[in-house]
Amino acid sequence: MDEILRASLFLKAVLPLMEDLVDFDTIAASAISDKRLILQFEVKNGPSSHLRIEGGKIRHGIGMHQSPDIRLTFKKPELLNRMFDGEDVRPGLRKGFFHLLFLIREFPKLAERLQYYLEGDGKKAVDEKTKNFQVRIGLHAMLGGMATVASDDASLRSIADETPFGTLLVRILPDGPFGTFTKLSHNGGYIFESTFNQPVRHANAVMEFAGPDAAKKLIDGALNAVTAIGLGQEIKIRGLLPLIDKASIFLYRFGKIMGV
Amino acid sequence: MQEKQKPYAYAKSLELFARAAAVIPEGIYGHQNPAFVLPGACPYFADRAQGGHFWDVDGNQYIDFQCGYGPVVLGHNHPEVEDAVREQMAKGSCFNHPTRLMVDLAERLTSLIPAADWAAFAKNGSDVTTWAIRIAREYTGREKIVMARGAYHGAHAWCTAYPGGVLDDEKKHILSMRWNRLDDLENLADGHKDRIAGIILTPYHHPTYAAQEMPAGGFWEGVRKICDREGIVLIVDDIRACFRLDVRCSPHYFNIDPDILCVAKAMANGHPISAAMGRKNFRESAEAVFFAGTFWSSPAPMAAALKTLSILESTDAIPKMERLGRKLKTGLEELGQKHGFRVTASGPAALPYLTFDDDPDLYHIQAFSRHMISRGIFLHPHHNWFICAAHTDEDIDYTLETADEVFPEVRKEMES
Repeated sequence: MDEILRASLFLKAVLPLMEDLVDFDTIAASAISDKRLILQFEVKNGPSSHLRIEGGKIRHGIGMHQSPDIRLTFKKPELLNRMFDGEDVRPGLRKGFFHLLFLIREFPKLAERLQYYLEGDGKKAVDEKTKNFQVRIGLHAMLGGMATVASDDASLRSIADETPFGTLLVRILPDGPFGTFTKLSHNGGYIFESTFNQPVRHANAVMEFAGPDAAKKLIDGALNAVTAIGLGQEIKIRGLLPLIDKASIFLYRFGKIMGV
Repeated sequence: MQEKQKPYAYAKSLELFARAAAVIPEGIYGHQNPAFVLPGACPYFADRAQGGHFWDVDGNQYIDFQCGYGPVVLGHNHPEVEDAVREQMAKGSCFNHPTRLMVDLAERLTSLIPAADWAAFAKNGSDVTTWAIRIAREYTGREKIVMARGAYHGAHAWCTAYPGGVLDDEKKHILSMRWNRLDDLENLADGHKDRIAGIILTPYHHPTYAAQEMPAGGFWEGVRKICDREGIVLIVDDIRACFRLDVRCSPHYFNIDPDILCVAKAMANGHPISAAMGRKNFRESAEAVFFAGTFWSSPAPMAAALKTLSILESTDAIPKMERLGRKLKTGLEELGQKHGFRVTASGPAALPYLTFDDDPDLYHIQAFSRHMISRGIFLHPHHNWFICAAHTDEDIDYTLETADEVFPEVRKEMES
């Protein structure tokens, strides 16, 4: 198991889902309704992300914030991964002793609600609204996961090098959500990034799901993407196929690392 | 020529694919997977073929410009080739020993191909390209292999573009250069002094999803010179273009002087066989690298190869493919211009590929191919095409006439 990559994925692809969570889930929303703080996560000598909680909203940012209110430092990526897996892990609290109550009471609630939507009940059928939310966070995680793997997975460096520059638009018909996975040039090299429900100027390649049901099946692992593309009904692709081809390698790796 | 009863539908292909997906990884794997062509808008399963045409399981007839991805060079079901195969099959197709045909074929190839002092046979391109790089390593006692970026040399771990199941160790001695860039090769040779065993290159560059590139003037002479100076084995992977440009294979056509030559595809007009050939000084190393496969000495494909080579040598098949390919290339470029597109038909005439110059994202070529396929002309959107000797002037005329209808469709689609 590549623990450092898994930690990167939690911080850069899963943690951003908190933004969606508090907009949708009333329990999660109430947990932060009166909070105003910046929560920093970092793995020592490794990846970091922060959450800005303010006005009933959460905004995610990659990297270190200049002045976080709470700073959680994990000596090893395994510790952060275990915390995200729901284990009782005590990271080093380098700053924010006055916000301990938030860490003890509210944050676990957020994590629990997110886990609930990501994993589902398994047996219980969910209502349409919940299903659409699960698809939304699934797509959001998928795009962030692809960009994180492409950026951070040393074992796929040659695939990242060979990935053509451009933007892959992934959208769920008829009304979204949608997002992008992009390789763009940067300082003589390249970077990967993802966006979610942001305006798209030009898509070099397009992957479209026929509807939320098709997307949910893929996210749940009940639909093989290659087969679905072949059958030409639930997933359609067009445009710069080498970009889709490489993105699918990153997506596969994301699923494998996260145990999806 | 088929009636213009288009556009085609692919209901039976899709139905069969759904069945396939239940029991076969990816339904159809590798380069034949529909995702590589036009998912939902092309045939997935073939039913039969004759000459330069094939029929899919829905009964749709196509002019076949893919030719089984190259092997069909004389046309499907060529009567003389099939007679030779049937004659051998009647005697048996799998023995404890090779047959006389293996010797006949090795003699034939070594007398025909300038670079060949010896020949050995397998089934697929990957079998022989992998063997060739191992021979280079055995010969030189070095580990590194140079290949061109975007080149395809098979599905084995050292050369596959996909990471699944591949160990870092299996790729760590593979170096890459840009096609036609002697400076890249010089830099690699400098940076890995006395460590490069071989360089494997196709005679011209035929990547997928992109225009083909012919060798620049002086490129091959330069490669040979660097190989000689540095003691690097020069392997030419002619799997795709062999026997289509020149019966003595592409090194003769392009004036290349390889140490080891790999061929397959068109060698037996669709019957499964590949071969590696080499100079006599590499024979001892070839003998030191174990090379075996249960079906590699199957005699029927060898009978097909002998007959195919004989027909290619004694008829105008190769110049005919060149002439028809040139007519197709020129015709498509002119039609593109007529309809306001800048298109380029790249590569050798017998293995052309069309790109829209202002379409780096492939939307235009995908629309063009989809409309052509739905009208009975199988033109792959992402891989080079193949002309065979059974194609006719009528096939090319019909293709161009159809393209004249399709270019405006592409324009309309792109504008919408």
